[in-house]
Amino acid sequence: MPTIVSVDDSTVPGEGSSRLLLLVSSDNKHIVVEEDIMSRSRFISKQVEGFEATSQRHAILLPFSSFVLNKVIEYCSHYRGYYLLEDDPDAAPPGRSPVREWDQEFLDVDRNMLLRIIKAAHYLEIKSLVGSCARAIADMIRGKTTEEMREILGVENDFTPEEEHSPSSKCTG
Amino acid sequence: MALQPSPFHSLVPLELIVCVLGFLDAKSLSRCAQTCRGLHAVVRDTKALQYIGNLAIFGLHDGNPDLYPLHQRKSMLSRHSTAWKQLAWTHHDRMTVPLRGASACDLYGDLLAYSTGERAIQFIRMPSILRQVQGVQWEHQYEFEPFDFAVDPSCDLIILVEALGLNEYFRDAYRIHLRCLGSGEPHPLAAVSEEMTHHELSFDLIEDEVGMDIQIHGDYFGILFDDEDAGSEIVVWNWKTGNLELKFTQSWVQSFAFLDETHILVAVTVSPTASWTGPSVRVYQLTGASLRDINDESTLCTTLALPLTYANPSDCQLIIHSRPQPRHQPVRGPFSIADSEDRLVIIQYMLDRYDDEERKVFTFVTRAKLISSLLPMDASCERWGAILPWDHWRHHTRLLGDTPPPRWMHHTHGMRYIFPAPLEFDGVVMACILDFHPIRIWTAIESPERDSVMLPESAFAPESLMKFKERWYPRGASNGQLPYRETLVALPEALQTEGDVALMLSSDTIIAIQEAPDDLDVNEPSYIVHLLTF
Repeated sequence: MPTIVSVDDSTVPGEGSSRLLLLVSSDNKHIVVEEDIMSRSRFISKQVEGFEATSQRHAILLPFSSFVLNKVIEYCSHYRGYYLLEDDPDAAPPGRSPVREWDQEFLDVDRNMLLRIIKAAHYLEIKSLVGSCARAIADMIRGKTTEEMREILGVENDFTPEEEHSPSSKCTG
Repeated sequence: MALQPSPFHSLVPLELIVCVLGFLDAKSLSRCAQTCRGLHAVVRDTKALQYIGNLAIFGLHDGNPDLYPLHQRKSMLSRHSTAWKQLAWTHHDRMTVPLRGASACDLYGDLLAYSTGERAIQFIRMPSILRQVQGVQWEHQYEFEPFDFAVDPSCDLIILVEALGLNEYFRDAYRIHLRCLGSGEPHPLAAVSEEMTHHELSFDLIEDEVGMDIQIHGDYFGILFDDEDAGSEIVVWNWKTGNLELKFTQSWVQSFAFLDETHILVAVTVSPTASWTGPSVRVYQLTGASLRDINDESTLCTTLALPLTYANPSDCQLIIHSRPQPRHQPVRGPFSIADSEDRLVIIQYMLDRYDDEERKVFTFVTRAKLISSLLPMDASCERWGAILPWDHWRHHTRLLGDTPPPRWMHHTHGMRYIFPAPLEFDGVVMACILDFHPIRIWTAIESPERDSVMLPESAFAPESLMKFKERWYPRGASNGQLPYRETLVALPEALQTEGDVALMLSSDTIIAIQEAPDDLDVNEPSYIVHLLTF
């Protein structure tokens, strides 16, 4: 029997006008979250449109763990009601998008976690979070040597010695 | 594409990898392409990532990527770089500007400003046709008559100096207004203290007839008060705290420029107190603390000695300029030209009288980043306060031969330098632009234009300089080793005249200013300003 976890006790039904969604993570945790928090996700929005067309609501199964899902929900809750240019280019009012320093602190996690979050954000189609994660990963490798980059990215040097020393294997743009 | 199974590569789909790599600079991207075959293929085959490399080759910086689709940005980039390579501007515009003293018409990055009335200043943000940046023009009325003014390069702050006349000690007093450029209101971040009414600083000055140079850099602004008889004074404040940072009153102080966030360059023609008595450029550290001792030398980190012997200070002038100041600028258009990391520093030594000959100008061109690399870390360092002989920094510098004397400032923008006046070859009046950008030079060497590149070993010692060799190169110093690329272009018909023409440079505009001919139907003396826009 899956356990039901509520993300935030204050978001009890009836308090806001927003309806509730049931998300199920890959480790079989059930998470109840308000619909408008998750409206930033194109994937969830499409699911909700489907519910409305068929007048049937059901749980949304997601292919990542509750640990990652909670992180994504935390992000979406923080920017609840904000217009972020990447997510809603048509609706965003002209002018500045809110300061994104918060993202930096929010994404101050280890590399593996960062990779899990960016994959989840990509699956859920949250462009702003994909962008912030990509920026954070890029920050990790910027200015590093090729060898340090291999370490951080976890890739193996698979060039032959000749290739490595030929100018064509170097990207000059 | 055969990607190795590994954490980063498990980030398939490809668009996520591209998204991450898209945030890298060209250098990091190139290194990343060398980590493994998979990533090499991604970088090689992705148009958006190639664009990053192309920008770097042309010495440009990415602007707002959402502004235009990629294929459009690529074609804009290629037209822009070709136009600059050949100095083929797209549009020629001209306007008449009233003549109200030399300092009253000036260029701040891409903003041209001049006074149109006693209390009014006209601002023109210059457009770029190839980057599709709109030009904007507006006028502002102030409630006092500005004696002089300066705008910070990010076009946020304007500093206006109001002359108050003689005070009770019979000294000239000035009030400094820190305003928002857009609204004309007092700037909200400006310092407020007991002495200041309406965000104004006020101080006394000994001289009566003064020339002024105001420069703004980040939290600091400096004003040079220059008087032929009484000497000069440089005062630097932090405009956010109101702290007085630096003050020089020596008569041999000639000019200044900000080097970076914490250093200021001061040009001195003689240094009677130091072991190097000749002309030099001193680098002072800005500590962020209010100055206690006037002429305190403890913040002097380095003295760059110039390869010139002592001359009578009243006969010579030493001028530094370097603009725009290294501060974040709002990027308009798909990419920007200004490099916040590096830019040229121009040091000009002008000799008014030399053996009854006409005026001589020696122009030293160096890079801000290279000067920074020569500085000692802090006051505990052994090299703190040391004098750096020319031999130690000439590798980072180029001494140009007979350049015309500077007229207005702003002969340099980023890594480009324009000769302050046109040159004449076979009756054709031409503008000469020198490009010191290392990557653009490198690409030019690899192309058919390699003849235009002046390499360190290329012989460059005009006869006029050789003539002074004994006197002016006491140590047999060479003309420096910084390479550059030279491009000459004929000016438009209207500028092919005998009259004096002064040239300036901004991001995407060559500005030519000439005095209006007398027969022009205007009520007051005027300049004609030609804007050659790319």
